[in-house]
Amino acid sequence: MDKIFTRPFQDMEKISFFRTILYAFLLFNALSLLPIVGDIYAYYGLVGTKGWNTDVPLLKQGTKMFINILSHPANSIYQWVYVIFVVGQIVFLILGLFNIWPRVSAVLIYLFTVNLHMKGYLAFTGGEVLINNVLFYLMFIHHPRDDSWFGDFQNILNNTFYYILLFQVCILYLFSGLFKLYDDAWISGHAIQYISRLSIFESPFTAVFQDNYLLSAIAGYSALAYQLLFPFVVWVKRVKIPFLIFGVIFHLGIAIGMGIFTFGMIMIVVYILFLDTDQIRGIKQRFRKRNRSTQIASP
Amino acid sequence: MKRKNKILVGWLAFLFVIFHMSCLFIHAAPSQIIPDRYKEKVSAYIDPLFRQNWSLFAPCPVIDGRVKMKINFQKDSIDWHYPFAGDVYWHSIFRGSHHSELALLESHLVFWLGRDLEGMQFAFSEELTGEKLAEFNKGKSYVLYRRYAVGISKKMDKEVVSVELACELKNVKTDEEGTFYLPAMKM
Repeated sequence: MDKIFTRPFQDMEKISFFRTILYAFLLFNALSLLPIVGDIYAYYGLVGTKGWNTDVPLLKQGTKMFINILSHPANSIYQWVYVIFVVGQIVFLILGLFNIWPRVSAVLIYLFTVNLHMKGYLAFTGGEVLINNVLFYLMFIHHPRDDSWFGDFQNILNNTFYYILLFQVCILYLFSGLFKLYDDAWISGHAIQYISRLSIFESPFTAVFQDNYLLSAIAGYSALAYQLLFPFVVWVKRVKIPFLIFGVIFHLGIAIGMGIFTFGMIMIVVYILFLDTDQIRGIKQRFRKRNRSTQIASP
Repeated sequence: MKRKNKILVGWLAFLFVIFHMSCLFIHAAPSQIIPDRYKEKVSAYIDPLFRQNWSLFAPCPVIDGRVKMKINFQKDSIDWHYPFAGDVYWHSIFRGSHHSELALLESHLVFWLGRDLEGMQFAFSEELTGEKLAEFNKGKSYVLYRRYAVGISKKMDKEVVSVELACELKNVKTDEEGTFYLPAMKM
């Protein structure tokens, strides 16, 4: 069993590609939120704070003190602190994208992002929770520098946190499906019908489900089956790609159709982790070809 | 790294993965599968870094609604209006813009209020007094609306005396409708 963890890490190309796409998406997300950073991240913003137990000494707060900084009462005096986190997140995402100080960037991107997400929690969804977890695991996955003991140790860390990353996504799907099995609306097939009637999710896409039980049941049971099957089917090479394509359509429906954009898109991004290296190379080549043809087309 | 040490660290890594995955599994599983008493045992490791809840859309949300607000100053007031109306509109057009987060914020305020009212068995249009009011004020939704009201008052360029919040609610399953008025919040 130890060999699985000590063997040379084979998925660095995949992780590098995944990290690039993830950082690019996070950067887009961070920039799109700039008009409302005060509302969601400031101490006296619209979402309030998660609270800070001042009875517990700082050192006894444990890891919470590192990820709940923006809820500390000192922020009521120094009301500009959240700006450092917003700017820091953007700066280190750019550095991370260009692979400058990758280790430092990975740690600081995690710290800035998790603090911002903790502070603005009421305006966010499970997508941000997944981002927090993924960024944490990515802090430990890097190119081994050399063949010294540190290189070997880095290699073991890479294997370890890569498996945890994959497992994290499977847990998400499995339990998301299992929770639904305990709900009458999902079991009866009405869930999508009810959800599509909520004004926050209204769109031409969801309108078709509002009064159509059959479509609602088909969509609901498909979603349920997909979530429950994901942790098992995603490892089967033959059906993996069509299965993931269904997932991409499913999450585009959530992102664009229902408007839960961050969650839908981040779920599509994590699918990169389940592709083979050859498939990653194929995607990269397609990107390059498209870029080249665009450059040739423009004078 | 010496081969012997490498094997040892490899085994430690394996044990860590098993431990981490088991804790995550226990923490994130529905309570019907893994009782809360076991979840409490792993919370020291999970909280807060790995805390997660994947009960996405379960139970299925059935309460639709929108928040309305009145802001009272010393001498005048801003009458009842829908503070998120613009964001919900732009969210329906531009997916992925900042309006989405504010629209989600409103939907979460509606969700938690609906959940509290259901849990406390209050009707949508029920006027709260005495014990019922005290019970409501202990709920999660009151805290969230209170924080929202404080945030709004801080954004104003003159002193706010109180913020009144209400929520127009509709159960899309039963068609029950009503407007729930929260107690006025003094600033």
